[in-house]
Amino acid sequence: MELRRHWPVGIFFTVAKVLTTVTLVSVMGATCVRLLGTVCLAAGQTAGGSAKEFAALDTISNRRFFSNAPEQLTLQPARGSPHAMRVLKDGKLRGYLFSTYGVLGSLGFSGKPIDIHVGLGLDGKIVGAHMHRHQEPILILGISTKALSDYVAGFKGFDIRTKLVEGVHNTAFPDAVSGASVSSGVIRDAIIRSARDVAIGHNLFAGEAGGAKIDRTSFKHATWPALVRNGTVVHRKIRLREVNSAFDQPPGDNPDGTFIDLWAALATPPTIGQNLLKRLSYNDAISKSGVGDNLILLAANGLYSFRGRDWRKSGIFDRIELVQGSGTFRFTKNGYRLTGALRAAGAPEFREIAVFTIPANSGFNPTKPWRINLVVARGGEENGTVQRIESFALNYTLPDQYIIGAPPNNFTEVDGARPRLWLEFWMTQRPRIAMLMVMLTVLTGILFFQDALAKRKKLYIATRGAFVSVTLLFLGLYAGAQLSVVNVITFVHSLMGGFKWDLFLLNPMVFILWGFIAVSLLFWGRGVYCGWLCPFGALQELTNMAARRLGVKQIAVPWGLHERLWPIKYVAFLAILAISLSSMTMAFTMAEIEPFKTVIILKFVREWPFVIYPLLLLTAGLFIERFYCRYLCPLGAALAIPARLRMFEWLKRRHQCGRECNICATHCTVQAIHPMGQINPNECIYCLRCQVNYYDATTCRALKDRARRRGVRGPVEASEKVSQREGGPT
Amino acid sequence: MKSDRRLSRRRALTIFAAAAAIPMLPVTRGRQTPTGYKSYTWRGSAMGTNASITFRAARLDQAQDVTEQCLAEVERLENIFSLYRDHSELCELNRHGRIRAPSQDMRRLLALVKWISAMTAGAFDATVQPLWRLNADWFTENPGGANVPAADLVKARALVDYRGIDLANGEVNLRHGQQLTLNGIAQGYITDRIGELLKSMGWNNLLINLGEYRAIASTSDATPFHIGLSHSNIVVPLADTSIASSSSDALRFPSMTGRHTHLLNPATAQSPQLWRAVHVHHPSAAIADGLSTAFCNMSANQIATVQRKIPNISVWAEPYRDDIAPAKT
Repeated sequence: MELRRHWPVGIFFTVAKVLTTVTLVSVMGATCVRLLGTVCLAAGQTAGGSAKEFAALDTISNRRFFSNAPEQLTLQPARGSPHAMRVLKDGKLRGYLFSTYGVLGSLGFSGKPIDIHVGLGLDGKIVGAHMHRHQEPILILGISTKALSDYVAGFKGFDIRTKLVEGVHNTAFPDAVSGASVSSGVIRDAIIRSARDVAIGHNLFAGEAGGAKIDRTSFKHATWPALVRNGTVVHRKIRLREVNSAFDQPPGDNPDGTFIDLWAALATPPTIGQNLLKRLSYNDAISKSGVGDNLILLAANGLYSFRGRDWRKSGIFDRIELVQGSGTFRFTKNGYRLTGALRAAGAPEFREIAVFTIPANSGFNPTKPWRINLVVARGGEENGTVQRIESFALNYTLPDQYIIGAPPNNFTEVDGARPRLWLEFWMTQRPRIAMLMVMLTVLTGILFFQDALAKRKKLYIATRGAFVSVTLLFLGLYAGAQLSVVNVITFVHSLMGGFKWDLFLLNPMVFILWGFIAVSLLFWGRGVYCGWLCPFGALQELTNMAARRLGVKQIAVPWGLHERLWPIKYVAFLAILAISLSSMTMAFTMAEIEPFKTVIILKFVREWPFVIYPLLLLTAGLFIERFYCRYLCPLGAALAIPARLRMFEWLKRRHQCGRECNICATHCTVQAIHPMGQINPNECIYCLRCQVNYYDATTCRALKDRARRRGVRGPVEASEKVSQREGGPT
Repeated sequence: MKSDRRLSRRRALTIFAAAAAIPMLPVTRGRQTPTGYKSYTWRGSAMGTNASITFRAARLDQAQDVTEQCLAEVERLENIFSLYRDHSELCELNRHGRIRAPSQDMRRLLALVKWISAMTAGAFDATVQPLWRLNADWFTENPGGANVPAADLVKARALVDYRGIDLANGEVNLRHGQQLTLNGIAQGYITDRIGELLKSMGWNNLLINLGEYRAIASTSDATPFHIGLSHSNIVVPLADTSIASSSSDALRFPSMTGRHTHLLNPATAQSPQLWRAVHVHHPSAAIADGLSTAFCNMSANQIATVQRKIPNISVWAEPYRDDIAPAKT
């Protein structure tokens, strides 16, 4: 009240108030507009907009993907989906040109569209790729545009049929842009997936699919269990119950008995045939069969024989037939050979094993699925009853690994089980995830046993110093797990535009940290993150600690001014949020108020204005501890707002605090303790310094007074009955 | 059920059976359809009749892919059973009276044909083909004629006997001069095979109509399909079951009386005049199909006798005379 009479302070106060109001109103207004806009946009996007998309695609540089003489090319929208341009030269199709956003609606790590223009040749290779538009936070300023365009361009020549194995580094495509591994992953995913969708949608490999061939040359040793596991050998166990019920008969005496356990495999590829059959037997079968013939291996156990007896007379196996599509293939005596036990390690013994040859001219295609129909007949004139016949099918599909020129597994699935990119990131980052979990466990321990720690001043100082150092060195400089207001903005936007876990799961360290924050925010407020887990905060604390050791005098900001500098960070946050609603790029530029990227992620390797700014902040921090945290940090502001919901008040205060004594307030690293004695949880970084004072009989005035009054010589135990006042919200 | 009663009636005239059942629009109850999954119906023709496959919940690409596989199977089986394909196994059999290495499906269906014939005491008989041929040829040459000459009828009638189909030794042999038609049962048999194929691929919640209807909605979360029967207000729920229909109206020869239909009673060599339409409900479409053909030639009492021998049959038969209400037996 006294201060308001002082006119400069009054003006400042008013300005701050007006600013905050304006920002709040604009945020709310913009949110409404944005939400409306999202709905309209969604409607507009489905309706059309492809014309605009196509126009954007037709550029000279995109044409150069296909030819050095871009003016000779004709581009026309391809019929059907997904959207792509047919690129023709002299009326002949050369390939397809498309936008990843147009095909997939690809989103970047920021949750905003990432659009790459890609040229796809008819041979399934990418002929060129160009980053058309993106709003990836890390890519905007930190990484040079050249590094990014080089990365995207590096996909030229990539064969989209190359199999990607999760968790394994693949040399077929370029390495990630360093410092932007998540965004690189998103880009890679967008290019390959959209190219595959285009290839499928426009039948790029239609001619080739028919021409897919089985591998008749390569051999790899494999055991029986391995062949069963990967679907090379399949079987169907038919129990008596099943057969009896097919004939409308009671289950019988032994319903669970095996009627037949029929196994089948295509034995033509050496990896199958030579592993299953004795080498001689396989070679003999192969050499005696013609070029392009196929071998089918059948084996069975149980009561029923799949061969029966009639074939000896008729020459035709009447109990089995192979069906593929609209074709029926009979097994005949000519193509039949009996073989001995199977060779593959771990193979069970079989009652009967047979290999059948299917001639090349029969129309059988080994790369396509087929089935064996097993026929069972019961009754008949000879028994004086009416005969009934039932049949049981065993389906077989040759695994892709035996097919040459086959699209990889994840290729044929148009959607559904796409390789989960985020899982890949989690698998490769296992060690650092483990380390982070250890850190969080230790921190939780510190918080739960904060009294015990605060009572031991030396232990506290050592613990604090060590933890903060680990935060800076491991979490910050090594793992680059520096959270940012950009995360908050991305999160808010994802809530408006369709939340997806995948997007946030892409960065496991950041994901885990945010998960921890979500909980700690509700329990203790924002201070847990700011004081213990923020690498830049840790850097400020450590540099300030060093400065103090060197005797740098600290500046105590007058309370009235200090209090009025607080709103800056809130205004900064709200401004960034408000602007992000209209321009994500601009918001990300504004987020440069955070020195995190320069210091922690890029380690000062950056253009000089970006280097000077954090140096200035750190210098200020030498005199005013955590200068940046106190007044400027938009992330801290973003955390402080929801932190008002917090549930626990574990920081202890005495009733004398603020009345008789202000020692904690002067010791507080961020001046979060009011002259009246309360701790302001919006500003508190939960460093526990005041709690150490609370228990320190040589520092705390209340303890000193009491000791004197009682004439006790020794230090007073903190657990004595002391009237406590908790540091409630201001 | 109220809306079921308001079903519009429709008569589908097909070459074979008179299946004018109306599939109700599928309504999924309870569990919601997963996103990206929609109800799809393939419509086309197979075996000379309107055909459709309705998927309650599928992705378009899945539905297309699976329909293609089904049509390939239909094609394969038509190459065995069709009377209208000169190189079909059935035509070979009719030409030579013998197949030395019959396909499994031929053996299987003929075994079933003989079984149904035995169960219905010959009211269903696949060997009526010479009789049918005679009627078709005579009325084509003498449109508006009164009746086929009795002498010819007696001669053709003499060839009709299902016991002449000999399946011994893995062969099929017919008596001299005998010919088969499978038009009264092949649709049902093929419908069953398609159902089996779809089931083996893990499909559920679909309705197959290949002249006869078969639903696959067997799991607890599936709702049965409802089929409205022509000539009546009856709606039959199909879960993992089939319904087949035979109707005199499907095809009539241009005779003077108009009483000569595609249905022929093996016993009398005449078109039966008992029922206008017969609908049979049974788990197997082939059995339902064969029985619906047979029941056209049987009295209500005779039908009841068959029902006692074969479990799980429901029959709806509509008599020719209008003063008798359609009876469910």
